[in-house]
Amino acid sequence: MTIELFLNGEHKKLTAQADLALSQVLQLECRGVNPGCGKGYCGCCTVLLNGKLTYSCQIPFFSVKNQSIMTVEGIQTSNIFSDILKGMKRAKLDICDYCAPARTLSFYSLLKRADRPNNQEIQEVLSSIHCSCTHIPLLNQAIFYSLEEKYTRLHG
Amino acid sequence: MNERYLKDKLLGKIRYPQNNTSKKILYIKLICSPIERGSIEELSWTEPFPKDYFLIKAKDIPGKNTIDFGDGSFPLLADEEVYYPYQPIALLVGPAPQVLKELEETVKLKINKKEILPEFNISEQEQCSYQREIRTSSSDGLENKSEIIWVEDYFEMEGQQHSSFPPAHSRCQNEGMVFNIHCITQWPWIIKKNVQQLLKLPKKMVKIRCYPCENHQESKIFHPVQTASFCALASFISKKNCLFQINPEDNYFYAPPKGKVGIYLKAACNHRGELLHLKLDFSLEGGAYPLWSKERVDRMCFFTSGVYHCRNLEIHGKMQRTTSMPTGLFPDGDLSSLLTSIELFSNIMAEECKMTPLEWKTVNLIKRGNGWFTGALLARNPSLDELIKAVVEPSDYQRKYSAYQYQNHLIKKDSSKKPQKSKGIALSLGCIANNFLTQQRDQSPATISMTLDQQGLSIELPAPPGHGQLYKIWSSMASEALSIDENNIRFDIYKSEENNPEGPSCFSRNVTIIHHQIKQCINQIAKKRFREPLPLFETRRFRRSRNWDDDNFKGHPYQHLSWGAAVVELELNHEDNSINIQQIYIVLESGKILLPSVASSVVNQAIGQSLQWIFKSTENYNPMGENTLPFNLQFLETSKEPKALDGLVQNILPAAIMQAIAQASCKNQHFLPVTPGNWERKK
Repeated sequence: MTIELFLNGEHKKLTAQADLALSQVLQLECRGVNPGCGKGYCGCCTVLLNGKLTYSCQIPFFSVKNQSIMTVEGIQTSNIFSDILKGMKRAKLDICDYCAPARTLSFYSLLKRADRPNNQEIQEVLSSIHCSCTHIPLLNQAIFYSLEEKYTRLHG
Repeated sequence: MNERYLKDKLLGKIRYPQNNTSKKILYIKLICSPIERGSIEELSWTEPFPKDYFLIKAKDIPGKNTIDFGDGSFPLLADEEVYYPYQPIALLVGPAPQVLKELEETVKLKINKKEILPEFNISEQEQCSYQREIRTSSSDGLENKSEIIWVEDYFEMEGQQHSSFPPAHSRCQNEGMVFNIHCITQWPWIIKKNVQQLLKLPKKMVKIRCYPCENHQESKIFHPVQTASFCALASFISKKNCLFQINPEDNYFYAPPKGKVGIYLKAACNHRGELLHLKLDFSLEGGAYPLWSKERVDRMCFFTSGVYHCRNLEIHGKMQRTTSMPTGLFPDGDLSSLLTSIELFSNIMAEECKMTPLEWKTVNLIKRGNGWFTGALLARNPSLDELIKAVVEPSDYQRKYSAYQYQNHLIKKDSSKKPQKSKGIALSLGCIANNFLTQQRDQSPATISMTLDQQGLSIELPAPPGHGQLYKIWSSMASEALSIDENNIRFDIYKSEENNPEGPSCFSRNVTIIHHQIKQCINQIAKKRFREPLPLFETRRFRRSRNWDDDNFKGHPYQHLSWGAAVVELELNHEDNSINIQQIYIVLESGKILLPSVASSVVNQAIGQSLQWIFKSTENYNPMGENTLPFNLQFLETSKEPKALDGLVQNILPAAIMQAIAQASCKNQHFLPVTPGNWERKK
């Protein structure tokens, strides 16, 4: 089955079996999608589907026709990504290699939609990925530093 | 951290075995048994396979069709008989995964059903793969004494299932018949050994490349051996590179099941509540091919009385073979089931002795100088009194316990006064030990080598550590001691051509053994430096202590023991049986904490795992963030050496929750998981 979609802003035609999970198809296209548990528990396969954080292992490939999908590769040139990078570096965050792309994407979605996210919004983003490699207060700190970097960039 | 490295990491540029695919790579699909037990009559295909597609059966294996762990083995591919559902029978190999799926439909597999083995049962004697009987004294003298209080009970625990990721994908690169196996493992040596035996190859022709592996891997130390062997076999026959990628439907490879445990306990106490005699009869479910039977049974035997002092013991432990998948080896062995049962049983004993659980525990706690039944003395004070104080005072345990007991007393008197909601509070204690109990040469050793040359310091580890942060700790330790820039310190994992037999990197060996060895090597190099010419080489090899006699069960096998205490307060709604955990207090004495943030995240994950085990779901629990959790965590650092932490929470938390449920529901709990069905289940 061939499906047309927008992957990281580019119009693409992907061919795969219709019943495959989106994560299984995307892992061949993008290195930022790591299929983890395959059951929607770990969150390592998180992508932005039409701007919303989604576990791609829970989405069948056929259902993303003409939809917009963003993986971590799609945000690498954005200013918000460099804010996240600086924020993580300041917080001395050392997350594991496997959850790092999904974690970055989740931070991106938060920073993109809110300048001053409330605690609930932050907790929501943090709880979307169940990897225990990093202590939660450290991740919280990384988010605050990233928000600070974003604020400095925008308002000087 | 280097910014470029961090950027690569965030963008997912760190490679895993499955990331390095090419057009020429061959994929593998497993043909598995659809039934539980039977003999394979026929394995054929209706249509001829397209070019480049082929099937590998057990008969095609050039060497030994066995995955051998020293302490238990199983066939890589079933040859004549299958013993559990989903047992691999053949490998379908080809360049396109989609075509493999279609070809799987054309494979005709005929298996004649056979009688399955008896279901797990503590009284089953015939299907034992290993058993141990220890008797330090007899209860004959106590039987007829009227002042002795006898208590007996039975507990059954259903195994937990660890959610483990990343999945153990493997890739094999065939470079002129030198097999480079890329896998996520914490036990490279066992992969090398098994692939050599499987393909009849010399040591030099098998090379293992390990990928970063976080602590999720603790729960599945034998899965990478299977997946790596599939790849190596397909690569050997096809003479091409092969990839074995686990699909979501290959549930077994994601999370190995932990089998059931049945525990019968019988104890004698005097009127002061002192434990005089303890009889333990337990059975573990090992699946169709019980692995590490000796290790698992012996470990449970060693901790028979938990954290309580009792030298008069009668122990009978065994591992039962059943028609299910082989069960895994977890960081705590099977101690969590045993210690949970002991804690539940201690509550019942306290009730019979007309004491509060805290009073009973205080009377029987193991103390410095107390002897184990194996003849060894406890050299260091376990600081259990301090632990109890640290959880009892902030939780106001004693007042609340009395209040809830009084409430229960009133309800028992007049059941019409039963409120819609009731509360319960409980205290539990537990311990854990690091490293293997066995003295087998390929399981307990660990070697560290360190070379200082003009390029910097190179540290070779026997396996990837359980947590990536440990590299940081070790490199900063070396940097400080030797005044070397951290960028000039590199870690190599299992690089040497001639490797010694090395054990896996689990059971907290990274912080208890490897950390100590690295420290020693650094000190030695610091002494030699500026006195001897470069390069300087230092090596340390760990072997099981000689104070332990494995066969006769004499001495003390563990260098360090970690201790923990927990208090849980919860509310039970009698209308819908829902449980609301209100407070969790955990205090752990696990020696020096090398990195508090990592230790906290390990505990956080363990709480999630424990709740998943107890309730079979995590609906009422958000494992993310201390802020949203009703738990208070404290580490007591009474020792300068780091000690085991993995599995400690699983040993104390379930018992506390179950005891609190027992108090709130006025029903003693005997079965795990705690479900309404199990509440009403008869023993």
